[in-house]
Amino acid sequence: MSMEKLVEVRNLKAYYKTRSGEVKAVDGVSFYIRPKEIFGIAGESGCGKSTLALAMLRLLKPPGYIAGGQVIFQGKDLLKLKAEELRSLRWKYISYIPQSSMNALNPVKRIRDQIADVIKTHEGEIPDEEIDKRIEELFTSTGLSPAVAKMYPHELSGGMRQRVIIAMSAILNPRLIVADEPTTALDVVVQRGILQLLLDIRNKIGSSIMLITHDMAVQAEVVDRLAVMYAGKIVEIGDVDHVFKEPLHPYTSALIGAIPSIREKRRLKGLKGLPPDLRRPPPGCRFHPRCPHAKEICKKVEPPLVEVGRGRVVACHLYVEEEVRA
Amino acid sequence: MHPYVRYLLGRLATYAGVVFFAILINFIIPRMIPGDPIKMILGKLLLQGTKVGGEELVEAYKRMFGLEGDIWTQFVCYLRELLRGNLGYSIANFPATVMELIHMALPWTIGLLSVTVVLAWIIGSILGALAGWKGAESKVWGYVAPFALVFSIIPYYMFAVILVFLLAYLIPIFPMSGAYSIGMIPSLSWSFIVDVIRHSILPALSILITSLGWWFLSMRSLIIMIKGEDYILMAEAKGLKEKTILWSYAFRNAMLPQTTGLTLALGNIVGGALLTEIVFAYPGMGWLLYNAITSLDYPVIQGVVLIIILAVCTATFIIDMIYPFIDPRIRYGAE
Ligand SMILES: Nc1ncnc2c1ncn2[C@@H]1O[C@H](COP(=O)(O)OP(=O)(O)OP(=O)(O)O)[C@@H](O)[C@H]1O
Ligand code: SF4
Ligand SMILES: [Mg+2]
Repeated sequence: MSMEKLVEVRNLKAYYKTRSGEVKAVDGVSFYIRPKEIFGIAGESGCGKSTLALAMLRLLKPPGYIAGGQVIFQGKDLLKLKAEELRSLRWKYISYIPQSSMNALNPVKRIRDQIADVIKTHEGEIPDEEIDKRIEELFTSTGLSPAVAKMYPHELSGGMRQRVIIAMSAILNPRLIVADEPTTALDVVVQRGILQLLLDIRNKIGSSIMLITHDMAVQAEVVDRLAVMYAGKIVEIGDVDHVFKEPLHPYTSALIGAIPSIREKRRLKGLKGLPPDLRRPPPGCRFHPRCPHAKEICKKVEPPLVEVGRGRVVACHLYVEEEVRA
Repeated sequence: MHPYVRYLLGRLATYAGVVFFAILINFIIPRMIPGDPIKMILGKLLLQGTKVGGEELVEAYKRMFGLEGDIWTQFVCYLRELLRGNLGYSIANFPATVMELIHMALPWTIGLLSVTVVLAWIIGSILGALAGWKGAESKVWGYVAPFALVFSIIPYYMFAVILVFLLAYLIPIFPMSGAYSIGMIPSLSWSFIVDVIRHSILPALSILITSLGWWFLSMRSLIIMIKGEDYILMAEAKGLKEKTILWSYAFRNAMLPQTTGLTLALGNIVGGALLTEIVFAYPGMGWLLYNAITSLDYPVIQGVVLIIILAVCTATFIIDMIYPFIDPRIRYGAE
């Protein structure tokens, strides 16, 4: 796998304005995604995963706004692109599978027409027969019956709708697919099929996939590299095997120790307390009120995200000191 | 059986039931008036000084009400006459029949209202969609909404009075009342058509502007609501052009409730914009009803009310029939 970067997020900040103060849902996040890799984003509910995806794609709606940072894609900062440039780049290069994909299809348009809209917008007027042929090929290769194209969204089950959206995300052979909790609302058997479909798409058209899910079992199984988020910040990034074999950040350890319980949305095993209120995050390390290893410095100084070798980065004072000592 | 056919038959049965019920009530109510209806009518006619044809009228009513037989025979007679389009004679305008009067009034009402209602609906919906879509970002639309609110709150007849005062009295550009100038003979001549249009502008404007405000506000709030839907976010992520998202995604979804509103409004047309027609002495159904009420012309009141009920029922039936085509999610009854 090459070391080049397909997309690089630098110090991205996305906040929500509320009456009781600003919710710092994404607060200085940096990472990159390589070509053809599946990059996972993990973290408890409310840590800012969806906000991160929306901010990267510049789809954040008020009261949310981007407070700073860069999203570099093909040498350009997406956050600075003109509206029209951004529009023509969407879906063609970066497609998106939203978290609430159950209602992501237009209820009064046939599936075929919703896909045809994308093709026509990005490739100009194409004869209908050709569009139909492409949709049929797409559906066959993604395990959907071509008859689905003639249907309306309400005629499909949840799993089928998800499949349609994933198939649609691949129609223009994008370089990156951002998938936000694509399996969460589905039962386990359907989940398997959806994950396999994402893998197939990556292997077939070579897109990178940014896979957001709080389900650590899914992360372990599917992704190449994993970033762990806590309270609006990334606390650790590394190859998924390394992270699972030897988690560095205390929060990552807790997440991994809690694979079954997190799926049921119960509180993390061995962790006291709840994630902080993002309007008033704790000073220093945001994890310190819940961290079993917290020291004095953790309460005052925010640990920076540092490289600790083998392409791994972590934000924790335990490792900063090691660095300094070394 | 195709599910749509089954659905249609179900709706048709409901429609027939409601229509029958309306006719039944129209049959029963006059019979509940104490006393002999024929004597009463005759008395009224004599009071008006109508002497000729009194006998004829009594005969006609006897035939129509079938007053000789029992209630069942009477109802059958009544239905038979109704099917022939016989709603009886007007008392105030004897020997004109109720059907003749309605026949004269209906075209004016339908002509005036169908054009204004549909026009208001189209313009209001389009402007409302733009206002809802541009919303907070645009200053212009921010100023339009309060105006629309004011116009939709002003009762249409008040607005009619204001228009008459301004544009017929103060600055006499348009005629004050009527559907065409006195002395003109209705024909398909150019001058008559122009005259009719000139007479219809103020009543049309009063209805147009007030109902436009209503459609505007309704469409605007629908679009604002739909803007937050996931499929709009998705459409944006797909890189669709803004006008595609607005018209083909947001507007198309908002058209469902908006179309229901239009069909119901069209059903109400037949009743006329009662007060507007009174303000302008416009010879439509509202004017007819108003005059019938002031002269206690029961057969006309009854006939007009029956026609209005039938029109509203028919409009509702039409919505039921076309709705499955505009909203694919509609389920055909017990499927
Ligand atoms: N419209 C909004 N207004 C105010 N706060 C918001 C809004 N949307 C999200 N937030 C807050 O931002 C934070 C991050 O939300 P986000 O949806 O990104 O989390 P998430 O990690 O995707 O969670 P989940 O796993 O539940 O999807 C949460 O604390 C949430 O309460
Ligand atoms: S910085 Fe301190 S509080 Fe934060 S995770 Fe590391 S040890 Fe725990
Ligand atoms: Mg989320």
